[in-house]
Amino acid sequence: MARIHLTPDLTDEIRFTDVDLTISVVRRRGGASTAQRLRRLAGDTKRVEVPIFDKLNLSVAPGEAVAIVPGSKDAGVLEFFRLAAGTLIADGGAVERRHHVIPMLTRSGLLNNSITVRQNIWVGSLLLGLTPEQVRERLDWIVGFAGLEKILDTYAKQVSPLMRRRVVWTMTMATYAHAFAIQRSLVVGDEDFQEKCWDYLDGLRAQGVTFLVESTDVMLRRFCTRGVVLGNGGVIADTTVEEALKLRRIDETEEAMVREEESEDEDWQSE
Amino acid sequence: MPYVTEVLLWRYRSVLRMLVMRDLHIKYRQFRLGYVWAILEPLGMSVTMWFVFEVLLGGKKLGLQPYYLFLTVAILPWWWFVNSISASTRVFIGQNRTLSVSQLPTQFNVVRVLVARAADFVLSLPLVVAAMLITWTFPTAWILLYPVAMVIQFALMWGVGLLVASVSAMIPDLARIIRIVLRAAFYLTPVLYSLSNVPAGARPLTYINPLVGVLGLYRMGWWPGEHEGWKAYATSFTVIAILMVIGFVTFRRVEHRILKAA
Repeated sequence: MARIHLTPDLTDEIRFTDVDLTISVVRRRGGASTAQRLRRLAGDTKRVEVPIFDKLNLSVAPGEAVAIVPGSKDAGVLEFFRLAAGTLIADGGAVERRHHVIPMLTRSGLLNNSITVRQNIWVGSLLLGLTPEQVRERLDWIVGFAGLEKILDTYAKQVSPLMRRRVVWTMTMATYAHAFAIQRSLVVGDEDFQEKCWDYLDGLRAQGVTFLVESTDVMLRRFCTRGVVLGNGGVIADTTVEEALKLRRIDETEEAMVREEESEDEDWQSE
Repeated sequence: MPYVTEVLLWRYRSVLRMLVMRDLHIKYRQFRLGYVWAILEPLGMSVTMWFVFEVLLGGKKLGLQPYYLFLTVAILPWWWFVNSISASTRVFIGQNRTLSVSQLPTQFNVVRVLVARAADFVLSLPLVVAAMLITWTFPTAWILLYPVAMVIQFALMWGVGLLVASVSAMIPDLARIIRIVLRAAFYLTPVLYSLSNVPAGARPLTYINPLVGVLGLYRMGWWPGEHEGWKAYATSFTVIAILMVIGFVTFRRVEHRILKAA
């Protein structure tokens, strides 16, 4: 029943074989007929099955840093990351991984506003698969790296968005995983902290840690060695980062990411 | 064997303990009286029931004597059962965003709730001691079955919890229906009365209720003769085993859909 199976003797770090996936999405009811209008008025929605992947095949070798770029509508980048991390189960085909792939996703709910930063680090790290002993060992590292000494015992809702992202980033890195799936800014915080993140990430890549990344063009160019364009149910192109970015679907560029992050900040203010 | 330990989350027991402690801490911190609520809620319920059924309607004797103890011994497990099941219906409904990153088994979310409610139950046990002192009735050696009953009840709730969590994630309306069913089940379960109040002909039918066997075990220490023979227990515990299998299988079959909805 464990959701996440590891295949230690795999030659690739992550391998997708003929993966099929359909997700159901709640959509607003369309249509101009009286019946449809009434149902819309009553708040009735409809569930639509959206095909995301159809026989997706992809291998990622150990130590690669792959830019994942959406190339069509419903390209399924988030679903791709979740499949890689094992937090989504494919309808068909197989996703194999050598080590745990630790996800860092926007809106992951990893920070709970009603508890303190310290408690959040505990709960979040446990959810990310650490044992209590490991959390105890690494807590000092997390606090030191992210500079949380002053806010460790304040409630997460009183912490600024910039700081919240630092907490999540550092917490994710503290899993010391062999592979990460990162769907948000690769580096976070103010400029100094971003520098620190870059140094840390470059260090990890030198050690042969594998990355799947969806981020801004600038960050992808700086960090990734390979570009994969997802779309139309599979891989549109498997090429260099530069080529892949040319195929990026316009409405899902940096703007969308900025919107995402901004809406997270709004959450923070309204809570 | 590795499969069994995986399914039963043995590997995750320390993580489970940590997370449950946090959950309890967060739950009780918001109240001035804190942990006292774990006792006050079931206490209120048992005193009310005792007042209504013993003092006001005491003409026809329900249950066994002393009634207050009889009631308390069963009402705490019932309280535990209702809280666990209604909490299970909510596990996968609404915002459970952490499912998109959590590396722990999905059923962990259910078990976490069940264990937290089990801790509430243990915290409320002083009420049984108090009821024993008030009525000055002390148990026989059969009281040793009390912890056994707890384990069996936990197994029952694990199965039922997975089942209701799965079906309410698929069809949210069922969550409400389950809560209504639980209210009806209160009167169909021998909490307020003893099975000896039920006509002998209908008695074997009530054994299907898994809680009949469980409550019988809890009460064994004080009223060893409540259920004559072993049939009541055998039937109830078989039903529990079946419910566990159904719960695990159902959960396994809808797990991918639960994850998609997160």
